[in-house]
Amino acid sequence: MNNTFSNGLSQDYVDRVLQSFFKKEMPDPWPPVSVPVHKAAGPHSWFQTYGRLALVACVALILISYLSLAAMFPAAPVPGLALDRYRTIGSKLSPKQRVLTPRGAEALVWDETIPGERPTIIIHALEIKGPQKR
Amino acid sequence: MKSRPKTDPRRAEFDDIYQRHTREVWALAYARWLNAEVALDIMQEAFLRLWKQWQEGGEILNPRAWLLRVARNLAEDYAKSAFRRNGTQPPQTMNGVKGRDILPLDKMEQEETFGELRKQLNQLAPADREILTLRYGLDYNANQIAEILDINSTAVHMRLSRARQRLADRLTDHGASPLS
Repeated sequence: MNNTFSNGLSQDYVDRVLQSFFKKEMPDPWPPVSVPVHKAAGPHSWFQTYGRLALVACVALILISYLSLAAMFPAAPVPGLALDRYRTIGSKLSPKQRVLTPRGAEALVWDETIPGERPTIIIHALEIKGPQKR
Repeated sequence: MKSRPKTDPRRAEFDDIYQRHTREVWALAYARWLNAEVALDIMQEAFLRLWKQWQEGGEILNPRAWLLRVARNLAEDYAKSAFRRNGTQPPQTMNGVKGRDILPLDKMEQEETFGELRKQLNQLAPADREILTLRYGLDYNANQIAEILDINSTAVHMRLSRARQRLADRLTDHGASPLS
């Protein structure tokens, strides 16, 4: 068995040097295991336990309040003829009347009274568009 | 109300893993840097990460493989950051051989030998250093090394033989006597 390397260096020597080198390098004594110490988990505070629940309840309360308030105001105009879209707040509207124009077209007419020292009366006329006749 | 002391069920498992694999993790980090202190830091960081991972509920199927991989990555990161900071290796990597209680003359000779050995080990490829550290540092046999490096034992013998030959060549080139 050949106990030397190709360059003539003794294998035993290399083994010996390496063993003693690494032995010297190894920490001695070996450090004990160390992990971060966690504080023992104590009883949770009320907020920790019910915090999320409270948050959900608050959001629900806000939502319910919003919907309740919204229900107290008139709903959006019904689809179709949006006649009151530009109505002045506080004004009074007369009942709408269906009339015929001099040219024979159908129209809705109503008036709007805006109260004040000098009340303003606006007369609205809206042609009802039907299928065009030739 | 009766209170029972709370013990972390994973702590015992963690201690066990530490006892079994801490030297392997150290060895891989050491092989990369050839610095025992840095290797200790990396080893401890790797185990700390394992602990944190467990604390956060992470499931690790093979803690040994996980630790070795993390240690390798940390060693690489450390190498890069150290290089950025210093531009070269710190002087203690080349010279620092801690003394033990031996005669001053022997100590001098040993320090000189080890200093040269460290220098030449440092010139080897990381894979060579790794296999030499596992063989001579941990005194692992071919099968144990094969398991860590995920290669077969024939490849271990081959790599080990080549690494030793390369080291011997370097030592001879730098003054080691062929008859030593």
